[in-house]
Amino acid sequence: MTIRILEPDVAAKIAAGEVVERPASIVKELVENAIDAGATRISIDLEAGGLTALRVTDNGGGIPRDELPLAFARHATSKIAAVDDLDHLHTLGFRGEALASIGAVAAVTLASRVPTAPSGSQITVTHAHAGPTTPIAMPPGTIITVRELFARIPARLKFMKSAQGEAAHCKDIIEHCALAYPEIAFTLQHDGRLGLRTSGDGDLLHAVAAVYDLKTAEQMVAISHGEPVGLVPDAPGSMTPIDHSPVVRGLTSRPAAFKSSRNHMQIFVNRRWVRSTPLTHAIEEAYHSLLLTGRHPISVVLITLDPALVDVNVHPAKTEVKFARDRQVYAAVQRAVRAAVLATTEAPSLSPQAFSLAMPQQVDAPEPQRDADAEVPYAPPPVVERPELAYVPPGGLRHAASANPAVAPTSQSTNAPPLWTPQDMHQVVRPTSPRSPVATPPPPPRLPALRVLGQVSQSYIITEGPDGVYLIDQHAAHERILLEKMVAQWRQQGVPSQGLLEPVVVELSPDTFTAVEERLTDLAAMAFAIDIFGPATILVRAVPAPLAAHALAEDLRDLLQELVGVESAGHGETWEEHVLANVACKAAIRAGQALSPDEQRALVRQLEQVDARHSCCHGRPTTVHLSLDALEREFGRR
Amino acid sequence: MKFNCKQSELSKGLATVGHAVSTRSTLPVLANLLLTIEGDHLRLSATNLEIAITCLVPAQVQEGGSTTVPAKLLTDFVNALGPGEVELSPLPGGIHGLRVRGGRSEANIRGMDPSEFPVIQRLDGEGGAAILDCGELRSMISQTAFAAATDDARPIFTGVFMRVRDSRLTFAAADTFRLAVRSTELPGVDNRFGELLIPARSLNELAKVLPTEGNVEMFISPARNQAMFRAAGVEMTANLIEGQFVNYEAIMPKSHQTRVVIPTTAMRDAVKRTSLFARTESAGNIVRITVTPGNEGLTPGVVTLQATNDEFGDATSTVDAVVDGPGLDILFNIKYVSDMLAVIDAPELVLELNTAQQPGVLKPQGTQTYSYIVMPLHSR
Repeated sequence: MTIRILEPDVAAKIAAGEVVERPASIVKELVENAIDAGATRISIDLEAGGLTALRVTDNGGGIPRDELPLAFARHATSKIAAVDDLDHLHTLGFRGEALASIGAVAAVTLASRVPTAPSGSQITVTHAHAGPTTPIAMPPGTIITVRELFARIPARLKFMKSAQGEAAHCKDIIEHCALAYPEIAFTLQHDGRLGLRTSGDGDLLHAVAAVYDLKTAEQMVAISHGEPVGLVPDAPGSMTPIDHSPVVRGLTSRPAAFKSSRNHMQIFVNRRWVRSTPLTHAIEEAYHSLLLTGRHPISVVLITLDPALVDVNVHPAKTEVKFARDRQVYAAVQRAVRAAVLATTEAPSLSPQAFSLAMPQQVDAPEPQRDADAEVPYAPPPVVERPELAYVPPGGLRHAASANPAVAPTSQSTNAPPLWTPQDMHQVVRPTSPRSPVATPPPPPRLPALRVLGQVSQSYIITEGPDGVYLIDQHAAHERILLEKMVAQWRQQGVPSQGLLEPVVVELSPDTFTAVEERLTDLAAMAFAIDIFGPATILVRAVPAPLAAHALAEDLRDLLQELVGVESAGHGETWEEHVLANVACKAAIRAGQALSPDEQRALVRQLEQVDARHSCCHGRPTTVHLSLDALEREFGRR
Repeated sequence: MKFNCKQSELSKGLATVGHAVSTRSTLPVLANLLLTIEGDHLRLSATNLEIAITCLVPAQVQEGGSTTVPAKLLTDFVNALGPGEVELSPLPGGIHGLRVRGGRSEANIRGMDPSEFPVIQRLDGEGGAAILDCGELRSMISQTAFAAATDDARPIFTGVFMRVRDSRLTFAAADTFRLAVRSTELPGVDNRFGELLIPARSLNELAKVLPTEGNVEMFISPARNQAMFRAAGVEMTANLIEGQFVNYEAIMPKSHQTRVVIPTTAMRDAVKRTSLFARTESAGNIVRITVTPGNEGLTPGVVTLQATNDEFGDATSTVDAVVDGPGLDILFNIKYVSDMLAVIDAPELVLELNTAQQPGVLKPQGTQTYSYIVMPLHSR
């Protein structure tokens, strides 16, 4: 066989195949172009899943009449001019392939009007053959209509799914765009039916509500990490990160809300949707011990960082990225999500209908009181907390409380029962521990003050809070309290390092080895004594004393891998929790143990103080919330 | 099989072999005992496939044979019978099992086919034998086996290393943080006995079944995969651990800067008192040992033990001691110290130290046969 250069149209079709796989790829390219053109309103109409026809309409900058034919030329783009521009890409597209490729496999009509022009112009390219440019009346913006997709490439057509399947793919694309660009109003219609509509008011929460539903949106908490240096501006073109460290924003679900698949962790890098297993893993790690296995969070994570530190030119579909400092990015994501999750105050709710009003009230209600408390110096715990052997009638304690001026309600409203005055809870000494040096999340809002009502089945404590009833699993709650206390103690006194009789030789994979090498000082701070012994081999001379039982080469390898792993960088608390989890579980009170009212109150007070109070070490919930709304609904009052 | 024997002797034999009965196994026959008539003795055997114990009980034999019955049931029933003669005979109708009759009680215990019972190898002196006093062997086991690791993740550390060389028998056991080495004179044994690694768990069982006095013979199987211990009326066979033990001699410190001699009882009491504060998860079992030399014979040297628990408080105990060399401050896991103090009976204890980062050596005063090496902890 002789070697020969392919005919241009054959080459074009081959190249087009990479970019244009199915209607969804066209939608992606066209919508991204519209976003790059500065549109604030983009609508997408599909007929038969986009196989028959597909139209993208935007109100962006448009294309001048004389540039229209050029738009379909291969490697023609307005987005970059030189190679260096690739390092500071602010636009979604840049390859200059999209329109050319689409034009090679379909009949495309491009109509566009720049705002200054009196009228628009239109050009039709049918399977790579351009027609004449003709004037057309239209509002400013661009309308691209694609028909006869793959009509001349039966091989490709054969692999198309049903119209519904293709439409679903298109919807995924629009959902990603809607989440990344909450300031753009997206409308998706399929065969005349509305598929998705976002308001474009710039609020990510509203976008989530549109893409998922209201209930999901209400279960989301805001992620904020890194300096808010105005990196997510309104106009996509003006994103200029100042710092090199990644900024992480977005929304993530409370542990109470979850999905059974990993597909609901949406990650955007510089507003570009990406698929990244390590980043997905980083998000999941942030829910460590908060979600049971098989449950996955719903997250929209927006990462902003210097375009020079991201390489998006890995794949034509641009869903894969490479980071110059991947460890830093993963750590930032994990830290940000973890901080957001730990800051949630919401216990899993019993009745999903009741979400709507419960959430904001819960977060806001104790707030002013807490601020007032911050000014008050520590005072000994009030007398009410002292357990007494003698029987105290239920009303008795209450009287004692109001009789004591130290605990008499001072600033809160009169309708709050005296027993759960905020003073009660906030004066309990909190074993403050220096958190790991990297993660300093803002002090999480605490559980609202709860009034203990009693114990059910000698296993659950029923309490009343500002918004309904909270049911507490006594074993899970105690386990969590003990775990945090023990971890805090270790941190406070510093874990001593236990020398080994003979150093253990551990062989590591090259990347773990590099990571260990990089983080030797961190590991030394964790009480490891490690010498570099050879390429990919280390000598472990001492281990943290509590880990003495794991001083086996395989165990150490796993442990080190975990400690320095990219996903856990900057998240040095798991190993302690890991080691202590079983101890805490054994030390905690069991289900089936009767607790006196004083013991119940003490447990609830302590639970109010812990950081990750909503789940035990194994990820089961400690608290279930039955809101007043839910009660009212159940009783038909609403 | 049919025979009579004394309830007390049978009961004692059953208790001995009971140490090798497997309590949890997927092989049902391992919960059984094998009873075989051997001359004018009843031979009881049990195995958990890790060790096997056999025991001879004098009997008046009327008819030979063998059978297997559930160990626990037979033992409990025989124990419940009063003193006197017990008669054991086969179940009628050819069913595997035993009829046990004592006084006016009788039980029919169903068993299994004796051919299902694992064959227990019987060794002789081919691979070299060592003869040792029972008491000495028991002491060697108790002073070393505790230092072995208990988790199976590190097989070689779960064993006690045994070596015969130049008429000395040495036992050594270590986990990754401490090492116990004990040796004894063993005249007349040849070096063919060599080295072997025997599970500490098996040795602990051996210590329980050894008679209080007399000698015990040790053999190695020709394949060097089993060891057998034979004393009056009882035999134990144990599987050996494959693998190379650490070069423990290299770990043993050759010199020291500070040498402390402490009364054992006073030290044991001080450790007991301070350990109350050290032995919690959060306090991490740490004891701080401060060695202060005496002043020209005017004041004695002292050893101070201190443990702190952030939650509950702290405790300090001081013991007078003869201190030779500079003072020192060193941290140990208190469990490692108390484990050793529990197995020595010498009136005085020697503690040899170099620096706070180097291993410490504990040994009974006045003997060169036992050393215990512990790695210190260091806080940063």
